[in-house]
Amino acid sequence: MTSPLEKLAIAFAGLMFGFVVIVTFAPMLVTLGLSIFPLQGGRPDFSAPSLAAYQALGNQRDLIEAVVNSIFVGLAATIISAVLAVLTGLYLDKAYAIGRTFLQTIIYLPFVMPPIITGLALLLFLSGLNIDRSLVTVVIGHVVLVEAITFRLVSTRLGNLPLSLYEASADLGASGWQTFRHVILPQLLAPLVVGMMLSFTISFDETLLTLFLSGSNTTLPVRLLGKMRVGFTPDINALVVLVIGSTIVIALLAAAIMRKNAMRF
Amino acid sequence: MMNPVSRISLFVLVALVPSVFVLLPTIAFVANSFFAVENGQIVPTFTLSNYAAFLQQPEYWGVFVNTLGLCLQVSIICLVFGLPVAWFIWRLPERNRYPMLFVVILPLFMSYVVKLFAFRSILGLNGFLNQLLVASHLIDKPQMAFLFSRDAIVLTQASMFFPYMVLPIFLNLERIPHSLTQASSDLGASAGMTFREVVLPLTMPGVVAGLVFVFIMSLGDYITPQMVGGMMGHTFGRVVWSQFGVTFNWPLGASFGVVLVLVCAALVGAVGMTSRQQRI
Amino acid sequence: MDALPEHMNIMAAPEPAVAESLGGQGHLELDQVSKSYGHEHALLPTSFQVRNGEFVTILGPSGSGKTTILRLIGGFTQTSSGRILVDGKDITRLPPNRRPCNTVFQDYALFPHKSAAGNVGYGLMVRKVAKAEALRRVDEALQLVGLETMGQKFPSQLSGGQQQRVALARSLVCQPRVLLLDEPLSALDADMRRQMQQFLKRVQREIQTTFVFVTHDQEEAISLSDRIVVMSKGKVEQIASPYEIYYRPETHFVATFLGDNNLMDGTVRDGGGVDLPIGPVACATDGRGKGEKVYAAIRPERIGLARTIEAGKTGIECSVAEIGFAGAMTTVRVRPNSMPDLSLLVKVTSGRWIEDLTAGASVFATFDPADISVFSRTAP
Repeated sequence: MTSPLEKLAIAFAGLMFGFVVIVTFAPMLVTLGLSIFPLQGGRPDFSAPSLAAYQALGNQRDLIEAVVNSIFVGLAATIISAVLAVLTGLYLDKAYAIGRTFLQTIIYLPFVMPPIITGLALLLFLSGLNIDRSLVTVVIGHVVLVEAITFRLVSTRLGNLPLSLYEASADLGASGWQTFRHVILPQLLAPLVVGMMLSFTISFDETLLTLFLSGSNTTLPVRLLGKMRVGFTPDINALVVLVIGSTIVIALLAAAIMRKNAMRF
Repeated sequence: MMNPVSRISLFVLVALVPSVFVLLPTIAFVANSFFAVENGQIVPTFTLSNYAAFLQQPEYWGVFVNTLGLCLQVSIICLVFGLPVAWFIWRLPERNRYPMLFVVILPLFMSYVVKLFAFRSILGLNGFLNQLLVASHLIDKPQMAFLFSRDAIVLTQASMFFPYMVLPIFLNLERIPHSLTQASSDLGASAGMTFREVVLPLTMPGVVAGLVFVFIMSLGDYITPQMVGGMMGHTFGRVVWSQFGVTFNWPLGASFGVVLVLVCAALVGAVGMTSRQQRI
Repeated sequence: MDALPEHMNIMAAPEPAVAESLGGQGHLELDQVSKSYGHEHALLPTSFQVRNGEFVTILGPSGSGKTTILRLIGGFTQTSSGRILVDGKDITRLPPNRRPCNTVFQDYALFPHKSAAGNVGYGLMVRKVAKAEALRRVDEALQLVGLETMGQKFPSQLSGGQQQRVALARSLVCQPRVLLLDEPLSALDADMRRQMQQFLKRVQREIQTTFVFVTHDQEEAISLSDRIVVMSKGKVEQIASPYEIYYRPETHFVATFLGDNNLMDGTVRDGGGVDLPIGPVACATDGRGKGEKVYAAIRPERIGLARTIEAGKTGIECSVAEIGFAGAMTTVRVRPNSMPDLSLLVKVTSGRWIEDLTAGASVFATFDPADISVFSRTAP
């Protein structure tokens, strides 16, 4: 039974929950508001909501170009890191694997180091090799950053697969490749999809690392950062709302898949 | 069974990318922190002068200590709100738990830069907070003090990194078997005593992990202080950044970076210790 | 089939038509097969043969090497020495996917992303069997295990017993010469376990495939097998029919591992018979020499109790130490008056006279010397 004191505690914690949700969602609401209500003398005019800003999106050519860049970087980083993560996961799942701790350390390192350090170290390294900053260097940075996520999900799944599943497949006549194709890969599908979705959303929003690694042609967050001093116009807010909206849809999908497959980090 | 040659080539295949783009840069970075700068050129020698400079000049270590204080403040605010919120979600009926957790996590997927901009428009002179307070007659005229202050940094970072506090605490609570709380009340403990004697101690690894996550995020974030802190935003991250961007003293910046990483490593090590002590 | 429990004979389930395409009889031979990990011997050199269509159980406690044998036959573990032959063909070095044996795993190892039919058809798919034929054979196999309506269900939607049947069908559809079963019933509750025992036995009789079954459950071994291989500490203790294993143990381990037994130290007498603490007994000694140290074993249910003794019959005068009523049978612990340190366990059919029996009562213990089995006290 719940005692009165406990009920009070729950009510209090519930209030805190509500307060926190308001504060953390406030930026999104502000942005949404500023995209709908035109500014009149520095104040939003709440009496005349309009979607005009959304129709004027085409004016922000450089931002749209940045969105395309971000999508390119996100997809490239996600796909490359996913392939690496699966290969590494499969390799480390074998009894004969060498350098287990070494591999895990260098994969997780960029995820636990502050991004400013990962970014500066890569910047220093690439300039030492006389490699110019471009979208390619951004992709490299994002690959090493997000590989940890898919690797973690894939290797957790592999570790939970009973050895008898591999043995049963071989026992029933399957070759090594057939076992991978028909038994292991289907098992990895869910963690792979979730890992790639999370990787994409992280890459899409990455700012701290990208700032060091990108040249003049850059991704959306860095381009937006440059616009902050002058302030966001309603059409920038409109674009941002659309971008965040799609990111949230991806996050929702990933969460739904994780829940359905009882996945954990 | 595989022969040694293919085993090693497989290892090289999977280790190549992280070795070249994580390990080598990190080694180069650490090596740089021991180099010297003469006439604007980096000289690859071995010197501790960069570290000595950090310790000797108050403008460096002073900012560092100040920044640690700021990060601690952010972490503690997150904990004060995060623990009750995580506990509240945990006490919800099972089918509501994960959706509600998701609501708390969701802001992570909202653009970092947009959050910064939004906080600027909320806290600014013409911002929503001022308008709200003036409209409700709590203050006479808009206050400049909200934006470009230390408090603005703390508030913005706390709200941005809050999910990193709730997530580990909640996952830790989830791991406490119901039989333990039931046994506690069976043995005569009140709800409060059960929380204090059973739930809270078993949640400590999650609490420590959350504190460290938030602390490291805050320590590594060099953009927020600048954007919402103004003059107060001269944090250690900015100091590191300016060695690379402004003064072009890379070895000095690298040594600062190493100091930063060592602090983070010590903290991550602490998390490892606490979570190993208490396995449920 | 002496030791088959009663219920095996009154099985009412209709037997399905013999499925021609399932299973085949294979002759299995282990020739000095051993397995060691460094200096740890998981299995000492072992040889035995399993005949075509035989149901052989490997019985032993955990760590006895029974699962090792199965994994060696299945090909999941490499032998350290010796050869494994199926139908005279050496398969010792073949990988699991090219061996004519299939395994039913302890945890079933069903593929969670495939339906029951998908699981059963797996072996046919990887062998690229034509679709129409594969479908027919999957249907047949599901029919054999009584799951013809469950083909589209996923493992998570099936009960433990049903998963077990899918695993069995999945192996049988590959037409193994030898079917290996690794403690397949250990995850089931007692009721389901008994049902599945009957079911396994019926299927085996049906398709006549050679079964090698591993278990640590003695009752299961006794009720299912044609022959039992008893193992302990990586070594075969005895290979014989369930009846012989139970009533004619050849080692101390076998005599004590299966059920209750009375064990006494003895010495072989000149001209036959054994000297036991309770006196000389004229039992068979299998040509052992005079003075050889032996154990003599007699099962509790082969000892009778009587209040009085008829003239001309011999009995040992004892006093009752303990009475344990267990339904149909009653267990009585008695101590011979001549040897109060010795205690004999007796199992008798419960009867009205048992009700009057109290601790301290005087009774006669009677037995037939032919029921005593004698084996060497030094390990062979």
